Amino acid sequence: MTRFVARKSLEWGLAFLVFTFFSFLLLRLVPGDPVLYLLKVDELQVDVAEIDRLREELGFTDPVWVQYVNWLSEIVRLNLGDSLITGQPVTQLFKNNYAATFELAAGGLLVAIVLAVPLGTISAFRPMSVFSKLATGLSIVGSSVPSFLIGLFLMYVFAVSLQWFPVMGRNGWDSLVLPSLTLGIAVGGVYIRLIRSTLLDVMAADYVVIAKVRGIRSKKLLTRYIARAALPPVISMFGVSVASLMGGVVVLEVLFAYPGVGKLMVDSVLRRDFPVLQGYLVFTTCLVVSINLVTNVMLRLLQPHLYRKDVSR
Amino acid sequence: MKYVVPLICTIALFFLTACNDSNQDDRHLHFVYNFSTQSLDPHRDSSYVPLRAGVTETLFKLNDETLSVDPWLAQSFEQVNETTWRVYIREDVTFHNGKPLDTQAVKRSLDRSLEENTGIRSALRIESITAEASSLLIETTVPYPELVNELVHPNTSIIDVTADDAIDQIPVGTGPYQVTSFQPGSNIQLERHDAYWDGQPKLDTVTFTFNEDPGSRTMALRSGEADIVYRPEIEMIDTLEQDGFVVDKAETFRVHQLTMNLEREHMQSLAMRRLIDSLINREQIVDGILNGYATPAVGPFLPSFPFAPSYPSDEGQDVLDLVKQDGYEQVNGVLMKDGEPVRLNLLTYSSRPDLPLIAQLIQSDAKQVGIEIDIQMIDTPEEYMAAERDWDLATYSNLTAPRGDGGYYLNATFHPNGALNFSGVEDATLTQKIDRLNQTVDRAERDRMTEEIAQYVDERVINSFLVHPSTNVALKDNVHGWVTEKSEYYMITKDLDVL
Repeated sequence: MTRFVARKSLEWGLAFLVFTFFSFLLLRLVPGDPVLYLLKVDELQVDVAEIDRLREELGFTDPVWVQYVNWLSEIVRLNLGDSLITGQPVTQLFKNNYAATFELAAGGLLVAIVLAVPLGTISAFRPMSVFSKLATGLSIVGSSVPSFLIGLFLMYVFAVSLQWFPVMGRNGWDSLVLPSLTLGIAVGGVYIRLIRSTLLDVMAADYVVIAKVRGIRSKKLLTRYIARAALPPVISMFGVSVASLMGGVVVLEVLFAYPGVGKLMVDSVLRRDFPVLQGYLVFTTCLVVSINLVTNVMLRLLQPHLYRKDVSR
Repeated sequence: MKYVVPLICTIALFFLTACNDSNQDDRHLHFVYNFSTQSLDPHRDSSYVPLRAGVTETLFKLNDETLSVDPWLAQSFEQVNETTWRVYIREDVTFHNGKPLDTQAVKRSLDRSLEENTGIRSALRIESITAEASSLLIETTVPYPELVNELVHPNTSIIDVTADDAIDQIPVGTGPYQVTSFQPGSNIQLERHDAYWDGQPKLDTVTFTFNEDPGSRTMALRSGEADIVYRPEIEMIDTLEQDGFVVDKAETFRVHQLTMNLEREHMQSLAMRRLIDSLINREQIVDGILNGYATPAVGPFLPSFPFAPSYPSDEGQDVLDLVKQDGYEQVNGVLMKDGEPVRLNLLTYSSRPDLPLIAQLIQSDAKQVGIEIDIQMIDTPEEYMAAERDWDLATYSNLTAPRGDGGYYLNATFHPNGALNFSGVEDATLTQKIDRLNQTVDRAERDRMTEEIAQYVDERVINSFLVHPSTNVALKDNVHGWVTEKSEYYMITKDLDVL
């Protein structure tokens, strides 16, 4: 066990070094730095010598590997540094913005599940029903219409015309409704199709047909055989969605003034706020790896036979 | 299925009751601004929200009507010698936490601004600040006549730096409204500062929301959620006016310009620069691209500034003829020099969406005289223009006299040491004129010299000035006391009210 932990830690450490070095290098290869922004050259009187002086003071003239080692020495002490633009600790910025992103992702996925599970299931079992047609329509809208258009439409109906919800802001749960609905429709469209096609595949499998012939009740058939077999691809996809949404949904964040990590990153890229960008890469990598781990554990629990050592392939 | 309909009804009813506004009795105003901020630190925030939201104030203020600088938290000022200024501080002012504003507090605040903000430190050129009984003695490193103008800058806002609250969340200023809560990137809740020194603010509470999407801002107004929205969607302005909203507009201190790289062969020709300048259809830019929300520019400064020259009319000049005298010729409609067609590289960028459209218009107009223009999109204009010299022309947008003095723009753009001298201008006469301006303190003399330099730039056609874009604001008709300022510095004021 000790050897296993040591080997995994070494693998992780090496992967972390390689990933962070190359991301650091890539960020530094992009032309520009935050010096002109910090000096506000577009509205304050600054001469060229001052630009060079600040560039040197902030270490941007050092070789990349020196900059990387300096950054790494802070990271190992769990210090992500301060934003060059606002002067705030990166962790404080993340605390605010990841909370908003988490709310958006949770709200959006909840709506997606509420829409996709019943609609996907009904459209698989009752392909000619009204619900099936509704499911098809919703999945087409969700996967083909840009999310900002869905958002503007919902805004017009529920905020401008009916005045049920606020147009924008992050002031309590009611301001989360429209962004969640928008995101839920966009994400849910994909899940409706996925659930439907997976269920149809499973229902056509031999063991399900035989179970039917044996007279197993349809409720038991659905919960014990079909759902269990249909869940793995949906859970894999769900893991990918969670990881992707936790990276931020810039368009909706801007549209609804719901300030998540996506908007923070776009601003940081434009202003070349390296500590924030670098911290984001580290944080997001850890998050994605953790989500993948949880997804894998769930898949193992659902399909233990696939992971047994003696399984013949 | 039998539970679905009652469940939906219950949820809808819950939403409806929950969404009722509880601020019925308050005089409350909801303002939606087009930039967001993660920090309310007045010394670092580049969206200048604390000043705009009426939370902080500066020592001096730009008067929007006279375009001159008036004392604000300062009572008055005097220049002791070339590098020393004495600024008298008002005695009747208190911070939001009740502490009095004294010279020590002002010094602490300015010291922090200089420490936190490298741009301010570089621009103010302050050697030392000494707090005396009723005044501050400010020593500059060099003679710096623009010091008072630069103390208008929002990042020099005066705050109580000893206050308990985190400055980036709840800055304690002297303005008519104080922060009660701040959601980074989303909104600020404000309430009246009862002990405000310049009279009782009219509103009880204000919500200052950030939203960078013009469509959402417009919807917020139409839904009744917002009372004032800054820069609504331009395409919706007619509809808003038809719906009974008031739309106000003002010119800004910004100019969209065509920067000319004087290090390039064709751009070294004065006749060629004049030809390109004459090709620009400014009226079409105003009407066709900016929907009328701009005014044609003749120079860098708004004509209402006292130092804006009266430019001579170019009518009657045959600029094409001048170009031909300079060794160019038109062959089959193509402008040639030394047997080679004239081909220019024009840079533009998308963060100001009107600039690429202007670039296309210039490209199309240049074709009429046989000049081929290649448009190149860039990401960060300042970085690119400074580092790469492979371009001839660039669309760029600049503030020219943001604090009522032209010295900043002239130094930044036309001085060899200027950070925005992308043209690569090194004109000894021009540099000498700017250096002389930098030593001149007398206001009238500064204005005269600024005008002279602007005229010189026009004669040499160093850059071409396109339009001054306007800013527009839409508001409900029950909002009173709103002024759309050219500086865009002051938005929530003590006079703002909803009836």
